[in-house]
Amino acid sequence: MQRYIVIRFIQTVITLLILSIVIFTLVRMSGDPVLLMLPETATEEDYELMKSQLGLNKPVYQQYLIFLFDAVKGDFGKSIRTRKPVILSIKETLPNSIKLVTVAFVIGFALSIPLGIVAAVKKGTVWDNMARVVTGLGQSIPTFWVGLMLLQIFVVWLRILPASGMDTWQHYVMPATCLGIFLMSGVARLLRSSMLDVLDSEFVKMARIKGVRESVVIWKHALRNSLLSVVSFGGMYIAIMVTGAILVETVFAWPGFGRLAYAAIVNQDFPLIQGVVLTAGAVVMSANFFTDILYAYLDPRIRVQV
Amino acid sequence: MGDNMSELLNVKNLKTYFFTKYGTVKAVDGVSFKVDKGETFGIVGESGCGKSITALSIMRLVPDPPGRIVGGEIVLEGEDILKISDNEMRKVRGKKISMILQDPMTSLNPVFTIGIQLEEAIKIHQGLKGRSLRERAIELLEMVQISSAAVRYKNWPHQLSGGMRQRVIGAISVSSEPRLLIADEPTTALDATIQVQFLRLLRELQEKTGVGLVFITHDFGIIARMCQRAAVMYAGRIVETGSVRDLFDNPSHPYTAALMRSLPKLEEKVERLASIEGQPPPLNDDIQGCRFAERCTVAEHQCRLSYPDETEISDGHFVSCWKF
Amino acid sequence: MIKSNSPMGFIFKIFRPGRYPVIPITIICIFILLAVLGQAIAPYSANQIDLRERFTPPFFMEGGSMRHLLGTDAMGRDILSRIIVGTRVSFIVAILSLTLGGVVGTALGIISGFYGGTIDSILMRTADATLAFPIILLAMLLAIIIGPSLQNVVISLGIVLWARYARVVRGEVLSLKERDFVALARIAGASGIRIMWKHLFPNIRSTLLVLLTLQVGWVIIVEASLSFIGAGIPGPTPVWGSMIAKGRDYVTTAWWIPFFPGMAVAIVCLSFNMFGDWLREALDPRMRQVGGGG
Repeated sequence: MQRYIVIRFIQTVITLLILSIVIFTLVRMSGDPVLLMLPETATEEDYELMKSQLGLNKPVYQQYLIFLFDAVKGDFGKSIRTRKPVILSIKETLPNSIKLVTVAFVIGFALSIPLGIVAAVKKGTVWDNMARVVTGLGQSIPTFWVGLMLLQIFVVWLRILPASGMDTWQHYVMPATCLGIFLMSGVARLLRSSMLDVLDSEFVKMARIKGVRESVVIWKHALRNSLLSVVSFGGMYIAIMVTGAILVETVFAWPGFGRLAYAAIVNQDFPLIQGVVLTAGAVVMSANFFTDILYAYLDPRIRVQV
Repeated sequence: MGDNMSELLNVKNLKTYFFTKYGTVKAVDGVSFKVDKGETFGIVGESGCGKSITALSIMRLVPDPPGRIVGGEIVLEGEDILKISDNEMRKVRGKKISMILQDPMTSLNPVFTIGIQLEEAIKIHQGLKGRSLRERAIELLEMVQISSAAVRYKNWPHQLSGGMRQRVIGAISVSSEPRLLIADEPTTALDATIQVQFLRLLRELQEKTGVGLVFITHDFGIIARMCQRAAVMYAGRIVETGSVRDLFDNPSHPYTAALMRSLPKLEEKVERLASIEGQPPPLNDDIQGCRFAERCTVAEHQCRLSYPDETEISDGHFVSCWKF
Repeated sequence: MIKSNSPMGFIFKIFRPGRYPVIPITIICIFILLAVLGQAIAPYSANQIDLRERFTPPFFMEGGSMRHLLGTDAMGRDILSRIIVGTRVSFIVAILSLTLGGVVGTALGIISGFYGGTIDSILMRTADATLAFPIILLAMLLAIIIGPSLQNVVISLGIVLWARYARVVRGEVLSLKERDFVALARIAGASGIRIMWKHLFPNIRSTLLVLLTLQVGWVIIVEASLSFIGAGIPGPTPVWGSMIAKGRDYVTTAWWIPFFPGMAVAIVCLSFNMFGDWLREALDPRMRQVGGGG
């Protein structure tokens, strides 16, 4: 287990390094990074200053190292528009996004676990078909559009929920539901198919032979194994949630990381977007690392090597 | 036919069909046999002949949908277990009837220790708790000859070899001292030497607990070694039943006779019955006559018209063939 | 039990495998037709501004008219016409990115599965890392560096798609490799490239077809999402995603502006997903794990 953690940690660091190289290369390939970094109103002096700050007169590998060390220190420069250090904006917004995503995860799993189980256990029945319709719709309707329609219904027509902000629990209802639905379809479908595999397995047959109650067969023997395969796709779900958060926060003006990203694009704010992408990459990669450890912990075949 | 004191299981005219979109598959179509207390009864046949479905039917664990037991009786100690409720049947499973599956590598849940899986069975039927539960579990592991059982008890399935896993499954199966144990090709997935060990273990367990054993296999060598009586199954039907001696010395159904001829030596495994021309019929065909008629060398017109009744050709030796 | 002739029963019937999914196929055909004809059958020019007609509601609402069936946007442009013309963009993005991702991913997947070893582990680790990285970030970065454009969207989508194809194809190849005909080809002395092209590729075609169908919907949604946050295809080209984004500002006053383009996305995606599900079950029930989604 320890060895596994160390190996996964090294892999995570390497992936992050590759990510930083990709971003560095993209930026350098696309032309003069100084122009990208500077606001349009910058003077010639600003340009020269920035150029030496970035160390652009040095060899490429040194430039990369400077870029890397700045990133590790959290120095992504200042926003072109607000002149505020990028790292400050990130620190302010990231916790808000984490809160939202956490609630969304809870909602998503609370919906998808029963849905996936019912669909698998009642395979081929009306229940299964209904679950298919629900997850099918969930996968086909754009999240941000669902958000807009929720706004229309609950804010404009019914006037029972606040449109934006994050002060009370009511503020969480729409964005978190929206994100949760986004997550639900994929998880429910995956759970259904892995449940079907597990319910078909010999060890489930064996449990029934022992005289284990059907509800225990499903909730103890089958679900535990099926959830393992859901956890093994954890990294993908985190990636999906980052995408979802950017869209949903934009719709509901949630003061989070996603809206920061949106603002950066709209304002063509390069230092901001670079900081956002690098931070998001780091968050996703570390989340991946932790889901892998969780998976290893849950699966004795990895936890206890022969 | 009155209730016989020594009779443990009486399967009468069992029919298990699968209703698929390609038609009705009559996997088990009118199977009857009896097993006495403490006896070992073999069911032998090619893969797909319905022997495993017969076993699952006795457990009432045929996957539904698409499968369903559509007729017959399964009388266990005087009670037809096809008539009791699902909940009552659950209490019969593990307690009165148990089963060992073919593949030990997949029969244990990978996320629970073998101790937990063993205790689960004991807890359900004997209501033991805490220390006594654990002691009983370790005792059972020792009974199936698992060395250092107290340590093994905490192991996960993946830490055990195939032979050990199958012994653990054996321990689970006999944990509540069932009256009937069905072993569905329990040694097919094991190495040859481990096979012999496991068979010996099964016989010992049987001597200790007096359990009636239904042994399902495609291997006549195992039948010869393990069973007192056996039935030969072909395409969802039993074609011949008798003592092992009857079957070997006087195989009377042309199918049994052909199988015997295809045995190179008694001890060797038969994977393919290559010496019999042709294939078993698809089980979704509606066949009126004998199912073996198409491959039979002595088949006559009558054989294709209707299915022959069972004839007792000597004491306890039954054959379904128009020759008799 | 729901009777099969009731409306709900009918919907369930389409969802059940083994039946011919008439409705999804019809819808897909209609949208393909719209994509091909585009402006030729749209009632108005997609970019024709008519400020007197702005915020006209759809025909069934008060103040709506048959002249603009689905209403008009803030600049008086006809929403129906914009949706029709926008179909083409969505389909072009889907075709290009699926071709890009599909060709690269299939090739790498076959190589990875066939040769195994170091190549395999490098390719698969890369694919895993790609799948775990939110593409939206990449698209955002590209949007700022090279400007939002169709190429940008196609490249971003292609980068994710290759990994999905490579993973599935590799799995198929691994099981095919064990089969007799591959071993025979090897014994006969066929070269690696010949085996991959003549023996492996033909056997994964149906898997590829299913994967392709199931991902059209995904691609269209992601394309709309990128356009929604401004990292997609820039105006004035009518694109479903940016139509919804523009409508965001008017959601309190003119809900129909974002509603209808969103419906178009949903209907097309649902049709492709249903068709893909059906195709998967019809071609091979074993392919349950060939996922769309995400």
